[in-house]
Amino acid sequence: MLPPRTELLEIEARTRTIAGQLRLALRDTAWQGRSGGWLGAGTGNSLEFQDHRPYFPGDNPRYINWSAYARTDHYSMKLYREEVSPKVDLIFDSSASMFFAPGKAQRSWELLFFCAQSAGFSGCSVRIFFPRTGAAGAGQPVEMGLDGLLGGIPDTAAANLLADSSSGGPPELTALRLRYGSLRLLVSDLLFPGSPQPIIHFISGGRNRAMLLVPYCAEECDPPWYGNTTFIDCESKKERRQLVHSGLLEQYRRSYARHFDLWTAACAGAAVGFARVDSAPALTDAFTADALKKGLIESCV
Amino acid sequence: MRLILANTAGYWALGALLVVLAIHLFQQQAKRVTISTLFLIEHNSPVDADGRAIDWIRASVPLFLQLLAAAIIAWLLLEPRWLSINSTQYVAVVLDSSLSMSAFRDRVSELLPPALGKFERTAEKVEWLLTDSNPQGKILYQGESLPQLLAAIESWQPSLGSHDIAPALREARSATGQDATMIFVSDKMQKLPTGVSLFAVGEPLDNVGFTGVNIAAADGQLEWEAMVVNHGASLQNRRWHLEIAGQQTAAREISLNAGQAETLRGVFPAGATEMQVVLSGDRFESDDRLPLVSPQKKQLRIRIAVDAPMPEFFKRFYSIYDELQTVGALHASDLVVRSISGSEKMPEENGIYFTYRRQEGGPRRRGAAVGANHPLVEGLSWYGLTAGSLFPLRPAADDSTLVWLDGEPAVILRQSAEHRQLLFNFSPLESNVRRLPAFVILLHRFTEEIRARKTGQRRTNLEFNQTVGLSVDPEGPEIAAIITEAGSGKITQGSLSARDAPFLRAPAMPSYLTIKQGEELERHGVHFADAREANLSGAVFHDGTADAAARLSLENSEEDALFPLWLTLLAAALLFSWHYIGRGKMPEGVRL
Repeated sequence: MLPPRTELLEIEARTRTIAGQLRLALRDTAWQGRSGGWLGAGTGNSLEFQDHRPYFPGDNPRYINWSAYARTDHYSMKLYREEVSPKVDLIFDSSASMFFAPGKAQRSWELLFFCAQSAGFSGCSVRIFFPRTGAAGAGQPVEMGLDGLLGGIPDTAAANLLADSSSGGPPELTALRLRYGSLRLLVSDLLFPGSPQPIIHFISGGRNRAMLLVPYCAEECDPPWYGNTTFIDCESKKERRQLVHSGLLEQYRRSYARHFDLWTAACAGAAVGFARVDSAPALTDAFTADALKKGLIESCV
Repeated sequence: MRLILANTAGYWALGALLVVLAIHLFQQQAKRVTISTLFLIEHNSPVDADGRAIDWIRASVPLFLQLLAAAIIAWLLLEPRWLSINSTQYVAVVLDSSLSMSAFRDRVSELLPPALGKFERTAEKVEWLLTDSNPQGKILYQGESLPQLLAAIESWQPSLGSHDIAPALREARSATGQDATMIFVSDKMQKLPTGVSLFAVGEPLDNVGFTGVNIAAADGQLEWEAMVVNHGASLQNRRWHLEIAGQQTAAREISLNAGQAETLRGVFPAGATEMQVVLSGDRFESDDRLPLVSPQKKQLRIRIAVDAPMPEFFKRFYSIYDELQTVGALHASDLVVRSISGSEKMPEENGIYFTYRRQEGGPRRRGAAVGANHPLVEGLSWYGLTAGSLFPLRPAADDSTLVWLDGEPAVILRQSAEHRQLLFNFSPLESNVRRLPAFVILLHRFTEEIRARKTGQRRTNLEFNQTVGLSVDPEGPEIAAIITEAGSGKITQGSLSARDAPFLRAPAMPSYLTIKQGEELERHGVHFADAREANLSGAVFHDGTADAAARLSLENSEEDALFPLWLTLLAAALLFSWHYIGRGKMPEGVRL
C-alpha cells in the first residue's frame, strides 16, 4: 500500500507544482485559530476594522476611538479582526480500496500530498490523520504534521499503514483528535456500506467546515466483468462466486450511482463540499472536471 | 404438404441446439477478480454454489437468440423447397421376371419400398405404373397409390427363363411418356436403355441345383440321370433323397467344388410312374426338386396297305418306334402307308402315299432337288434325288409342296382339319429316295407329327414354360388343367378352350401338370432346366435411383421465397446476441 520513497518524492514534487497553480478554496470561511496571516472570526490585532464597543476599564487604550470621544465625550473601543492561522485536518482513508488499482492508488497519494501542500502554502496549520478501518482494538490511527509527511513518513507510521487491518467498513473517525474550528478535509473513496450521515455529521458538526475529495477509477464504475467470476474483496479478502451477466452489470452500475447520489445529497444537506476526482486524467484535469466547478478547488491566479 | 427438404443432411445441424444448450449449461471456470465494491454486488443477485460445474440453464436473451440462430441455420441447410402446383411425375417400375429373382423376393419386399418412397415427394402428384418384363405380361398396377403398388409387388412371382427385357421397357415407356422415370428391378447388373435406372436387389449366392434330367430305358428298366451343378464360388455340401408314392428314401451326401457338376443316377421303381429327386434347399428353390414321370408316348396305330411300296422297309422302319402298333386293314389306324394312282379320289385319312410305278426302266428326273421352307423338311438335303419322269399328282390350292425336283412337285403335303397326307409324286421303286437320309427323317417327322396331333394318353417331362403341345378333341368335354406343386402338394386347377390348348405352357415351378378332357389325358412332370438363371454368383445390389428422386424434386419444386427473410432473422439474432453478451453502456442520467 505504501509506495516506494522515490515514488512518493515524485508525487510530492508533482503536487507541489500543481499546488502552485491550484489551491484549496479556504478564503470564504470565517476561520478561528492561532495567530497567523488569515483574518479570523474573532477580534484581533490586524488592520482590518471589525466593530465598535464601549470602553471598559482595563481595555487597551491603544484601541480607544478618539474621534468618537471628541464627538461624544464617551470612550469607545475600535475592534479589529484577529489574524489567525487556519487549521486544516486532513483525514486520509488508507483502506485497501484506495490503492486497489494502480491509477487510483497514485491518485489517492496525489490528493493527500496536494491537499497537505496547498494548505501549507496557504499558511494553514495542517494535521494529517490516517484513521483505522479495522475492528476495535486493531491499532491506533496515525497522526502527523505536514513536515512529517513531506519529510518522509516515519517507519512507525509506515508500519501501521502497512498493517492489514481493513475490514471493509467505514474509517473510524471518532478516535481521531480533530481540532475544533478546523477544516476537515476527508480524502476517501467512500466505498463502504452504511449511511453517510454519521461521517458527515461527525466531520461537519459545530463550527467545523468539511469537504470531501473522492478518488475513483473506471474499474469501479464501469467494470469489464462477465461470466463466472470469483470476486475477492480487496479489504476483507472475502470471496464471492458470481455469474455475471448483462443484467447483473446493469444492476451494479445503478447501485454504484445510487451510492454516490446518497453521499452527494448528504453532503449538500450539511453544506459539506463534495467532489469526485477521476484517477484516469492528470490531476489538474480531474480537478477541472468536478472540484474546480464546485468551488472546492480554486486557481491561485 | 408441398414442402420438401432437398438436403436431409441438414438435420445434423440441429445438433447445434444441443451445443448451445451445453455451452449455457456448463459453467465456465470462474475468473478471480479483486474488487473494491463487493458490498454493492452482494445484495443484487444470488450466489452460485461452490464446486458445481453444471448449473441449471438460466433463461437469458442470448440463450434464446443463439437457439433461434442455430434453428435458422439448420433450416437453411435443410434447403426447403416447395413443390410446384399441379406438378405431376410419372414413375414406371418394371420387374425382372427372370426366375433368378425368386431367390430375392424377400429383398425386393425389404429394399424396394424405401427406394420407391423417395419418389413420393418428387411432385405434387405421382402416377405409378407397375409391370414386369414378361412379353405377354399385363400391367400389374397403375395409379397414384404407392401402398397399392407395393401390395401388387407382393403378389407378383417371377416365372421366365432368360429373356429379352427390351419389349417390356418399350411398352412401359409408351404407357408413361418420355418424361417418365423408369426403374428396372432386377437381381444383377443389366445394360439398360438411356433413361432407365437399375435397382438391383441381388447379392451373390452359392446355389446348387439340378440343371437337367434324362430318362431312358435300358435292360428292361427305366433309368434316370440328373445333373447337379454347384454354381457358387465355394465348396458346397448338400443332401438328396427320392420321394416315391409319398415315401422318402434315406438322404445321401453330395459335395461339390465351385463349378463342379455331378450326375445322380437311379432307376424308376417297378410299377411307379412318378418320382421326385429332392436336393436339400437353398434360397433358389426352383432347381432343388425334380418331379419326374416315366415317359409314355401316345399309342400310334400304323397300317401298311397291301399296295404299299417297300412294305418290308416300312415294317422295319416302324419296328423301332415306341408305342406304335401295326394293325391290319380291318382295324382303325392313325396312319396308313399305301400307293395311289394319282387320278383317284384321295382317301380321308392320315397317310403316306406313293404313286404307282409308271415306267419300268424309264427315264429318270435328275434335276435339282430343292426342299421348301417348311418344318417337315427344314435342314434336309435332297441333293442327288432321282425319280420317275412322270409326276401324276398336281398340288391342290391348299397343298404345300415340300420338295421340288427338276421344277416339278416331288413331295406334297396335303392337310385339312381332320387329316394330314404326305404325298410322294413318284414311286420309291423308280427312285433312289430310300437311300437319302432326308427321306427317313421326313417319314419320322411326319409320323411324330401325326402322333402329336392325335388325342391320347401321354406322359412327358417338361421344362418350365415349355409348350405342352396339347392335342384335344375340339368337340369333346371341357378341358381341365391341374397343377400340383411338387413338395407342398398344393393344387391349382383351371380350364382352357380347345382353341388355346395348343398354346398351353408348363408352369414355372416344380410341379405335375395334369390335363383332363373327361378322363385323364396327359400327365407331365415339370422341372427347372435354365442353368443361366441358376447361377446367382453374379447377383449384386445396386441402387441407380439414388440421385433420380433428388433431381426430380429439384425439377418439380421451387426455392423457398422466404430465404432472404431467414437470412435477415439469422443476422439479427446473431447481432442482438452479441450485443447482449458484450459490454453494455451506463444507464442514461446516472451521475458519477
